[in-house]
Amino acid sequence: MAGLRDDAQWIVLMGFIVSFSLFFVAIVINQSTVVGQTTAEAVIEFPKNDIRGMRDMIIQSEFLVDEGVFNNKTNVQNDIKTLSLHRQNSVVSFSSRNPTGSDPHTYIEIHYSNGVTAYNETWRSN
Amino acid sequence: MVMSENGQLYTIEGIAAALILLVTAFIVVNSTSVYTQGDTHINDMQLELLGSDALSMLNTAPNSSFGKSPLQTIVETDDSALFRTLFLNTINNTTGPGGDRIQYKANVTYVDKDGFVSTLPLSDSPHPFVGGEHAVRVSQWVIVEKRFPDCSAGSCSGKHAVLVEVLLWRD
Amino acid sequence: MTDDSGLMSVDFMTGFTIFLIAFIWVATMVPGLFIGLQTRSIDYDAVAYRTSVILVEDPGASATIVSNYPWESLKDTQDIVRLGLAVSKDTPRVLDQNKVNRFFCQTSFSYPEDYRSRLFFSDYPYTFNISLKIEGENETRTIGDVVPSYYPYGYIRRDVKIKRPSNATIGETIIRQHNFNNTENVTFNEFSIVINSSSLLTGPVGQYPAHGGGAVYRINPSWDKIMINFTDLDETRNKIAHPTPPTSIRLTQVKFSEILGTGLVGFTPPLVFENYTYVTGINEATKPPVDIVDGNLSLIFDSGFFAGTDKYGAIYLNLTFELDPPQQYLNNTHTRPFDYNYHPANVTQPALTDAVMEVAVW
Repeated sequence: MAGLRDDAQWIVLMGFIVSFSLFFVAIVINQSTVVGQTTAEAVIEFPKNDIRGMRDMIIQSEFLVDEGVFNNKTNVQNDIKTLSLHRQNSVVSFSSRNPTGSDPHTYIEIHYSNGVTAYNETWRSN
Repeated sequence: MVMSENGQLYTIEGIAAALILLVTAFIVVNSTSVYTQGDTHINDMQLELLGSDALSMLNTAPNSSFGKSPLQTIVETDDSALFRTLFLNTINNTTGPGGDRIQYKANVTYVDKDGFVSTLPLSDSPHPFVGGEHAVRVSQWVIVEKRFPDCSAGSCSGKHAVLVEVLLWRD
Repeated sequence: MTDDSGLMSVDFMTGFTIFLIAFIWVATMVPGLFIGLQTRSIDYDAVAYRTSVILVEDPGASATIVSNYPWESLKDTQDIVRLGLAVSKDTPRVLDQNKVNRFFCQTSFSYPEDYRSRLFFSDYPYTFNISLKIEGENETRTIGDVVPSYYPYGYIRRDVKIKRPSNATIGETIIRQHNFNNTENVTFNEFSIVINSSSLLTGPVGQYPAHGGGAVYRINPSWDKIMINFTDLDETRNKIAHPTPPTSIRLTQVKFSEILGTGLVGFTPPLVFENYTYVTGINEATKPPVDIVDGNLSLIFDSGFFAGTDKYGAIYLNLTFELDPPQQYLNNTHTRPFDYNYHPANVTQPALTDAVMEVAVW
């Protein structure tokens, strides 16, 4: 072997120094990208428009009526459930309580879940 | 024969250093996932937001005397040309001079009489969708009074909730 | 023993060259790591998005002590906590015209501090440009610095609608239709207007049933600006019996009251709104008594004027016209109060105009 001579080891040392600085740079880069990436993804992930749309539809549908051959309320409410499930991958359910003598408000319980985001609300008419 | 290894000292150390560097570089490049603007979905986010804005604006009439939004009328009468004009005007409008170049493909999704989900084409932009585009999907609920093609039974006339779904991309 | 002293330099060169080649190769990869890495611009896009959401989907907020009043009605910018332009939380993307006017008013907010602390909420001093183009207006409204063309900035565009407030014009047609002119000659002619908050807020809106999606067209008396114009007041006189107009026609007072429970109680509007009448000949808002010179009178109640009233009650306005000498004039003592409602024949309904907003942040 090369005996005990070690005058060439500074080359390996330089290799180590450069390697460590590379690792350091990598850590810094990894930290910095997280901010913007998560914001944009969070905006896309969170189904704000889906929830708003479905909530609006449910409230409107509650005040439709089944009359004659037109089952407007039943049809619309079934459509909401089916289309939410098939096109927005979300389970939507709702039920309502009509005004009683002592309480003139209509209440609607709204539940929405797409597996990641769940939304529950008890809507009250004014 | 006596092998002299003295003269290879620097070469061996050089190879060692080079290996360390290359291995490090390989690990670093593999482990840092660098996000470019395209990767972060920022363009998708902007397009999606703009699309749902535009659809919801189309679903709002200018005042309360109409009773129906332009979008409801378009779906009920299958007015593809009107949708194209209104939608392109809204979505490509900018505050500065010139407009944007967003293209779209719109469908109406509804539930037919057997409870299955069906789709009808509503309107297309001048540049049709061919499949290679990086598109985002936005949708808008509307309640319409319309008989859909495979819905002949009396029970399925009247009002229906449908989804207007639009694919959006920039060309 | 071989003499290997000459091999040393060749060995050194080979070893060092291998190291250098590897080093250079790795060094050229490092900038590659940074390509496309525009952390700044990515962050700016997020800020632009957040700002647009506050502007377009939030109605803004006033300080706790004045939380009853919409921010656009507050004269002191210190009382404004958050600058949102939406009409209400439930009507995203529909902006209030008064809020828009106040927001883009260069004299009422100082750029950029007032905007930074009420819209961006950040320690980092963002520079920005917010522009709004309203359909039918030639000028694009804008606030902020010129958008940079040589370096990246965060950007978002939103499609919105601008809601123009309602107003009523009580002119000859309405006066004749509702018999709003008295047949007796009196000194004090009383005219009353009712703003039924309860039915405005909960009833049907135009063609829309109560919960049928017409929320964006609602008139909210306690938050919206309300304008009542009177024209052709001279026509309410009996010109055949009295060809000459009275020497003085004066609106002596406007009495505000509201229904609370079952009774009618007086209501005093906040002091900041004390001037609300506009007549020909005076170029600023005044308060009664005012002289009506040509039969035109406008009452403009800024947003927040009726903020103190019961949301589900009704507001009554009683106008007293003093005529000297006594004549017949605008008077509905014997008929019904003028109803400020969703009937397009009575009230010019709120209307929505298309607009597009762009937010750039850097």
